Amino acid sequence: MKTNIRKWTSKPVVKPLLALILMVVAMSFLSENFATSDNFFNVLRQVSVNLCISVGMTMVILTGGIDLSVGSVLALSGAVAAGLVRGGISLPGADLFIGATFWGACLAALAVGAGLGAFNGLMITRFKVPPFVATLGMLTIARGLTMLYTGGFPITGLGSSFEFLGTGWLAGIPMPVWLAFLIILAFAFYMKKSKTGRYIYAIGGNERASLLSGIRVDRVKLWVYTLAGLLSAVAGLLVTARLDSAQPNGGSGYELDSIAAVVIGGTSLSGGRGSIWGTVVGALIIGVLNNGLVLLNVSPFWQQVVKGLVILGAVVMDKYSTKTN
Amino acid sequence: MKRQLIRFAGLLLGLSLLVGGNSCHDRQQKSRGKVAVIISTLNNPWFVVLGETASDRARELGYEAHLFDSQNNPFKETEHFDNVLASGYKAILFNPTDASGSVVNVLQAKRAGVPVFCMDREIDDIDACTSQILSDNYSGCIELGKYFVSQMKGRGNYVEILGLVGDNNTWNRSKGFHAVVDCYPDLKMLSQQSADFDQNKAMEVMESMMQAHADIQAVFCGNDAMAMGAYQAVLAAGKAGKIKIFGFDGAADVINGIRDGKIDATGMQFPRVMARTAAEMADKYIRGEHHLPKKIPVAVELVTRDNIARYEAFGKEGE
Amino acid sequence: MKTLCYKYGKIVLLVLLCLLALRLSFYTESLSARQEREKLSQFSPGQEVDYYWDNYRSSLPGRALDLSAFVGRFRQDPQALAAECGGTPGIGFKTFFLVKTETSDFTMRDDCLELRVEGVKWQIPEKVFGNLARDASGWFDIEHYRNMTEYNEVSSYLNALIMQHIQQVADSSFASGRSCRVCGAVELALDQPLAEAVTLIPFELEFIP
Repeated sequence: MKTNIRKWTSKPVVKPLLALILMVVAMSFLSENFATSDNFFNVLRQVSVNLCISVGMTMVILTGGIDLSVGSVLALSGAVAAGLVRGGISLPGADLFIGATFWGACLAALAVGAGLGAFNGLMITRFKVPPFVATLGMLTIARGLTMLYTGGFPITGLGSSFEFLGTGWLAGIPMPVWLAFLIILAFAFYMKKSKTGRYIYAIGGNERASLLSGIRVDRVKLWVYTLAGLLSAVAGLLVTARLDSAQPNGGSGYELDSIAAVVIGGTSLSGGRGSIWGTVVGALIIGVLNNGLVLLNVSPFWQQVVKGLVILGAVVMDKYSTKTN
Repeated sequence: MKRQLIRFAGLLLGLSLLVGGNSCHDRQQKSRGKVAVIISTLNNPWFVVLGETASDRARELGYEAHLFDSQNNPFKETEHFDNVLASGYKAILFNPTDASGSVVNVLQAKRAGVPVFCMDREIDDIDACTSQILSDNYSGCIELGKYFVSQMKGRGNYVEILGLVGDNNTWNRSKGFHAVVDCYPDLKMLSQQSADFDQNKAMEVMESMMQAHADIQAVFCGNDAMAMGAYQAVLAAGKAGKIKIFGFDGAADVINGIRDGKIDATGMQFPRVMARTAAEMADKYIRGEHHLPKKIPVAVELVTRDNIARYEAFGKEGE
Repeated sequence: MKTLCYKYGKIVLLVLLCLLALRLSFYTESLSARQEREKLSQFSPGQEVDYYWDNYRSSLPGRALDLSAFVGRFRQDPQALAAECGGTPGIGFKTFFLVKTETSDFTMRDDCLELRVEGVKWQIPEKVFGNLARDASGWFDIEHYRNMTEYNEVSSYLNALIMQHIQQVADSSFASGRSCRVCGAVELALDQPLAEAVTLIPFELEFIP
């Protein structure tokens, strides 16, 4: 019994989880509007976008890399989906108009995200560009492509399917929350049970050793970056659906929130240690913090300071604990 | 491990108590309800004046007012709306980030029964907002255009620097200007580019325009920040005084610029008037008067060196 | 044999799924039907403005104040006059009025037609811009338009009609005209005395021989 408890409490996700519980309790006392079901779903809905991105970011960081392009890929996929739903191909000769359906637009957006992610992966594996630089390049490339595609204008009026995806409810839970939840379950399972999941941890822990023991490191890395791009595209669809418009400068700064969620959740930036569930707790901490500070009417300027301090605090605590352990 | 956990918990609790303690004071004063003031960005002093005047007026009328910054990001704005609607606010004084993208948020507020009053920028839906109080940019730029024509004596070459192309106001201003100036065939527009309402970008755009065309005699900028950027470019090229500069907004540096003869004219918007009107309409609505005009344009006045004495930054002298 | 079936079965299934996804991704419709629908939803000020111009212009003189009486009352008590028959589009604007007059004291200048009534020069400009005509006519309610851009397009269209009307009348009957009859709109600031020259935007202009 005692060893069981020790096993559970030594998991890296426990500390952030306890911190989250403490925060929720503190906020409930400090603001009467925090502990309502409306607000609870608000926080979950707001966090769902970051959750999608952060799951992909967790896998990337576990391999020892980083992906700075998630925000721009999010914007481009959202723009592509919106553009396809609004536009189409006209063939005056045959009096025919071919337009994309909601599913077609979503598939296209996912393809764009996965494609850009694969491009990142190629740059990193084939051309040996450091992940920071490769994804930094993609950040500006994707942003530029988004500006080109939208012409600087937001694309609006996307129809009822997008509206349902962004603001609809299913069995009492908002759609974006369902989507994020399914993604978390799927990928947590994938990381734990599948071969590739274990390879990801191995590569992060010691890349050279993994290579020597026969793991196809390049293949796995390429796959991981493609997945990150795909998940950014999912997040892009959620954002576009929520706003009923694709914004040309959408998604800026989302990569930072995502990295923060991963770090607070206990994943090490040098790779090999961490988990999807830790990231989930990290994203929830950021979401509760954002929401709580607004409900407490803290000045927007102070909110930024507090957020930064929490991130630093989390990393320092983590480093401190690994040193003493 | 246990010790650090306790330390961490203590840090977090302490932080939240510190932060919460600050806001406890507000809640203890008796008020007639809460009013949210959601502004598109607090990075620009013009919008800070808009937001703070609205909050101050709401407080004068007996409400508890809170200011939210959307950071020019419609998603952040959606989050603010979510939080506001879950916290029992009685009215929202709103400055939208995007005319079409913000419609969803306002409709959500309407469904929740919270009245929304738009300030300065409109949304592309006449029924969603309870009332919209905006500057008549079109008429303001018509006056500016007439002054422009008289200053240029009906002939010459000019360039135009636009604001954000996705913003309705950019095109309202440009169309007002062109409605007048295009009637004079001897006034030629050599180039028209966007600098996103940003001062630095406008400086770069103006520099490239001056490189491309040696005979620019005037420049019309969609807002005052860009007019200052254009002025800096003109000054650096040694052409100060040779190129006439026209802006729009009524910001502090351009008002001083007009006094010093650096800028030729601008259109004075009245953020304080709009903010106060919005707060007063919210008050009327909360008291029960639901038949309010849906759109109230506020005049923009032409400010030149001839009438500069009557104006100061963001409004009339002594307002 | 079984494994072969299994392997090929998987590929066939995958191909079928891709085809299904592809088919579900798009739809087709008649191009002309779509263009028809789009035209209906797009805003064109022309139809509305033309309707009012053709059918309601003649009722304007009935609502207009005679210019001589107008000037007298304005000089005496502008606030009362404004409260009775003036209007403003919003906060901070000048007040607009509908006026009419018939006079033989007029001259054609370079850029305007100038009428002199009650010691004030009423100038009908060659180039009409601004929202005065739209606002003074009372035909267009701001709350019926999606945004200010569309509301202002009404102005440009109306101004174009007015300019066309002025040109037509000036070309055809100015030369032979002994007196000029006009019904139009003016805008004045209530806190300032009447200026020497005031712009008058005409809805109806004619020269009587």
